Amino acid sequence: MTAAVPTKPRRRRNIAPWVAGGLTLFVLVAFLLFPIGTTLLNSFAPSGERFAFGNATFENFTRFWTSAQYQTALINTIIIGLAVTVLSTIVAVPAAYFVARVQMPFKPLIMSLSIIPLISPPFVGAYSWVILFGRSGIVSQYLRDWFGFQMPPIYGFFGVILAMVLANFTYVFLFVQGALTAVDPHLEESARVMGASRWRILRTVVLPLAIPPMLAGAMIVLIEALGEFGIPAVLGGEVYVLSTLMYFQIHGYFNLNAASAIALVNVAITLIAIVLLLRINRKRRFITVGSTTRRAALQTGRGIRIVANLYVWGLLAVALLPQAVVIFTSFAEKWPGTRWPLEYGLDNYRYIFSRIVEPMQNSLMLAAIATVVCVIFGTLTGYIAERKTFPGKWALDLTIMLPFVLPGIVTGVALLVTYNSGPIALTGTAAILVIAYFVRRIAYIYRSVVAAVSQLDLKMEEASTIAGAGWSTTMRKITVPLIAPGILAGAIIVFTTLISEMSTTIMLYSARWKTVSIAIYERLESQEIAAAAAIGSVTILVTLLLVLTATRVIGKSMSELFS
Amino acid sequence: MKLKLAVAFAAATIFGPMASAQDGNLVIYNPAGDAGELVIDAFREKYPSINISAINAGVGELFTRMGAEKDNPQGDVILCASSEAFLSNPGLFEPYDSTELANFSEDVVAPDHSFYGCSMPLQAFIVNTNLLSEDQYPRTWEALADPMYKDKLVMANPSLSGSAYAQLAQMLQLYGWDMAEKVMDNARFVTSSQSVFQDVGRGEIEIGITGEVNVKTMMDDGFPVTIIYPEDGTGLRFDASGIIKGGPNPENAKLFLDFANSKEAHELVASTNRRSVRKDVAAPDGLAPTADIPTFPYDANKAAADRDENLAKFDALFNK
Repeated sequence: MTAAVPTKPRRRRNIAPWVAGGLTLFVLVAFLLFPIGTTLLNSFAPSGERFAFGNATFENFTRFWTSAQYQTALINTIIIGLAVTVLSTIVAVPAAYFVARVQMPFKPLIMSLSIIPLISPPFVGAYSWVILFGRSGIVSQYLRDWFGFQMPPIYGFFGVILAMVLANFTYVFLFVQGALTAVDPHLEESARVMGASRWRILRTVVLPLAIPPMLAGAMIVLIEALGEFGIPAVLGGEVYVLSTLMYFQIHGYFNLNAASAIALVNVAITLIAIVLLLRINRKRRFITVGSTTRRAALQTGRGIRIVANLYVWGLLAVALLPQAVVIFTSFAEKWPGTRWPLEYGLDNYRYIFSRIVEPMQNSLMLAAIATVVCVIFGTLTGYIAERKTFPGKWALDLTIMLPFVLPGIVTGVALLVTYNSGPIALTGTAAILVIAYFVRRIAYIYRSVVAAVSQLDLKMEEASTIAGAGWSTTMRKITVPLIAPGILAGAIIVFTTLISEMSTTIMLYSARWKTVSIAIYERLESQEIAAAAAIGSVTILVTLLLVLTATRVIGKSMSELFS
Repeated sequence: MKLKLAVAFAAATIFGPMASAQDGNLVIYNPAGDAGELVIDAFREKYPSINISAINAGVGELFTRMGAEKDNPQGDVILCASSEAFLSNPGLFEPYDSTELANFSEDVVAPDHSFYGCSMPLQAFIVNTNLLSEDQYPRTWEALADPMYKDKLVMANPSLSGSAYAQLAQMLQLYGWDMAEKVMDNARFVTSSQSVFQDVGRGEIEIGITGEVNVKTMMDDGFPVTIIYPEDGTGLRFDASGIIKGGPNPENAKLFLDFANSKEAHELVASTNRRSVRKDVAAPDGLAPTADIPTFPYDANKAAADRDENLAKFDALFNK
């Protein structure tokens, strides 16, 4: 490490950590804990009222032990959540290993493409699976015509789990890939010198090292799977999940308190899962990022390269099917329930042109600002949570994960109620959207920083401190550069998912701050599916280009950091 | 440009209805998609100096939003939302005697004049003409209970929205639970009301129950679907518009509601395949006149009063 560290010892008491900590605490309490806490308390209040000690009731929860529908939905949610988490991990880890450790061409492109499944335009994205594999789907029809093969129905558990795995495996993939790239190659080299076989090294050194980031990714997958509404709505048929029931409460009954109650049960399931995951994680602590600046050697064997390329590209091809269908649909000018469209052309793009420029600018700007804010506070809190011991640490963890676990509309309402009037009135401003985005996404950065810091040798920081660097200098010159791959992976996810964020935005946007997802929603409302697909396609393309540039530019400067 | 504005302003002042506010701001909550956009555009043309912003979202989101903003309302007026939503959220709206009041029949205006009818979202059957031949079409609600339609019917879950519940309530008022239970045996109840008509249009399933506007729009786009009004009668329901209590621009809200209630605005609504509640506005092109559609005296108040009980029973049967 050639990072310059001031040699003059400083005796001055350093206030930087206190300022950073205090500011973080204020932000978390004001924008996260207070609004969301009060909203969740309302789940103990009767419909339409606000919580007070006088009116406390369990009315909103009784359905869980009286209604068969709620019990079935609860069980469905758990089954789907677990299946999606396990399968996503199984699918993602080999891909991450291949990309990190095998020589392959087009790695920046692979990395960027793997982000794209996270952008799924509302309705159109999930409906793509029906267009392909439904009873009259394109693929189903050809299979029937050519091979007499009847596809099993896509509706129900099968379709929901399949679609969710392919939409969410990226989280595990990115985190594990980042960690395996950053791992100190000495570990593996030592094992090899001591005569371990390649398989043994993989089993006893490499895979165990991948476990903390894998669990961090799996946790995100689990939460996404529990909160997802679009896929179960379109593909679930009569398989209902908790998010479906939450949607019923808000749309059918206008009963936000009951929706919050369901959300709270969702939070409870997630917390149990998180505690279990943390338990597993606690038993495995490794210091893997040491003082070396070399990267692990890439495998160049012919066999492994063929396998790696086939696996990674195959996985991407399947995972990107919905996006491909969205793009295809955008060129269909007339597609009235026939197998293929009757007319193709650019009319949809001409039509949306005037409706997309401003929303796109807004989305990019809001997402970019929110990502920066997430990176700053997520890194600080993640670092503090991992490095320092203090009472109530679990509360910090819980606070940050809370809005992440909650459905977006609940977070939206929470902020709306809190900042609609009173000393800080923010409704209708860009600020409230940025705050909402920040609150909903900080957990991504937080989680990946916690995972990255847990692998970081404390000696590096101690060395810096002994050499006389202050806290902020050490942070800036030592810690952050070393965990940068983790932060970057988180930041790219945050930015990407925010561009098409829908459920919170729809509660908080104003005419001045209309986003791309709202533009898509508007076209869907007037049944202009192809126009919605065109806006979705532009969004996918813009995001892909941005992420590709980012991974190239930042990836390059990052490798310079290490050389 | 300035001159144009001045002329328009002068014209609006001279020819426009008597109103005190013709500038300032106006925030419209629009759950009615393209129909709402047309009305808003026409209003903007009429009153160019009013700065209008529109928030487009679903009825559920907008009512949740209004509830959350109750202490400091941000919106002025809501356009064409289901009347069930108004009934289950009393107290959010400001009574107002619209200049158009005389042109509305009593049953589509709130007793305290806090909301006015807009369009009529009649529920009808959408049938895929490739999958069913004409003699197989269901012609009545009662026919939907026939075992021949097993697994051929898709509906939105009645807990989902006013329209979806109205479908169940109509069957209950006409025939009771025995018949509804048989329909439930045949039907798949989904969460996405979009996918009800999309699935029938794409040939995923034979029959769906949805608003007539959705069927008509698909027919216009060339989908192999047709619209069937049940011969035993569909219930007359309506969407409504109202002024949000305590909104920031009450004078402009009144001006807008008067315009939204006008014949001109209702004709714009009808041009998007939605049926107006005004008797002097013809049914949308290609849809049967309201008088020709078999209806039955659907009791919306009873439906609303029995809602919790009905949905509890539905849930119990659904999960059997």
